[in-house]
Amino acid sequence: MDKIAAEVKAEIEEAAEFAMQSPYPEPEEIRSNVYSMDNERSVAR
Amino acid sequence: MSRIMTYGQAMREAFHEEMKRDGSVFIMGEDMGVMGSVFGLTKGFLEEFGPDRVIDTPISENGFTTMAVGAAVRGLRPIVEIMYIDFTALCLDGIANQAAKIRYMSGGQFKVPMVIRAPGGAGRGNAAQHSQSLEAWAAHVPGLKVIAPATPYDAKGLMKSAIRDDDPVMSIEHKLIYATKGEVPEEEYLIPLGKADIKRSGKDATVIAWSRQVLFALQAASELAEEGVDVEVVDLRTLVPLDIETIINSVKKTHHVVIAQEAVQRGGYAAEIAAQIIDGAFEYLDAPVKRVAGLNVVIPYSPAIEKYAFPNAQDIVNGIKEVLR
Repeated sequence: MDKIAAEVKAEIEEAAEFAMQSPYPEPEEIRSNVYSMDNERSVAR
Repeated sequence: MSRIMTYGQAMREAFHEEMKRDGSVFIMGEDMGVMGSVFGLTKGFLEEFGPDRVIDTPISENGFTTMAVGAAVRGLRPIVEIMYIDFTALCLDGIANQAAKIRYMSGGQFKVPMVIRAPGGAGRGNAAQHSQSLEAWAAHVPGLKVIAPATPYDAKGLMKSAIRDDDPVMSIEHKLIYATKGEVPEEEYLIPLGKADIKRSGKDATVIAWSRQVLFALQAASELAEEGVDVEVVDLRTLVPLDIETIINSVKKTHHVVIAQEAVQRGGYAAEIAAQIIDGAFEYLDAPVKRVAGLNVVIPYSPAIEKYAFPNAQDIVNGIKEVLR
């Protein structure tokens, strides 16, 4: 159990570090990945 | 070549063709297997496709809807029936917080290709908890697409597209149009999501409708034709994404607009369409946009008064006359 907990903790810490080191998203990304295709159109309407 | 078939048969054919075509498509919901669905849409499917692809669920909407979300994320293509749209209240977390959000929250790493079918609507004496029209709930949630076909042809073509779509699609199906008949081609076809259809061309006024109200709108147009009024009927077919171009082009032609919805008027999708018409074609309007919609009441059980809760063809006639006055 301790080994699993340590692995999970390490994975979380690695992900958190990656997030902290990553740039903030660009404003235009707000419309990304709401839908798969014809994304802009579905978001707009 | 085409055949005459009912809306329900056309939708059944869509399920059948897609399940034969793609082994990842499966059906899940209450009474979908042994009974073949309350509306008979999956009769014989259990025998043909087996219990792994035609799954009878317990009465547990949130449980099986959310299971379907997980299946979709893992690569399957579930078709889930919520027996009555009223019961989406029990599984809105699965629909609005899970299915609609996972693509966005995973940065596009996961997709949720599932269809959530929701028979709804009043007129069968099914009373307050089995008669609502709740498409506005679905249309309000980014991440969901919403279809509301009115004819057998559209039902089949849109359902096949919805099953193949990589986003969650909610299918709004009025219970009283499953038995209506129309032509359906024998050969395969798809209808793209987000494309309205002008069911009747006219120059004096536009009626915008979806689902059963399209049938009432066409009745109203026929009646008014005898009085020399030429009505255009725009069947949205898809609510999200909305085909605003077709709507605006019709408004520019007729200058008078009625939007017919069965749902209660307050907060309904007709209000959204009216707002978009104001944004895009205000200068072309010769009269205010008229909503012909359900009363802001609970659907009564009594047939004596249920009929007053939602609009019919005569209400649309009256609405058209009002905007043309």
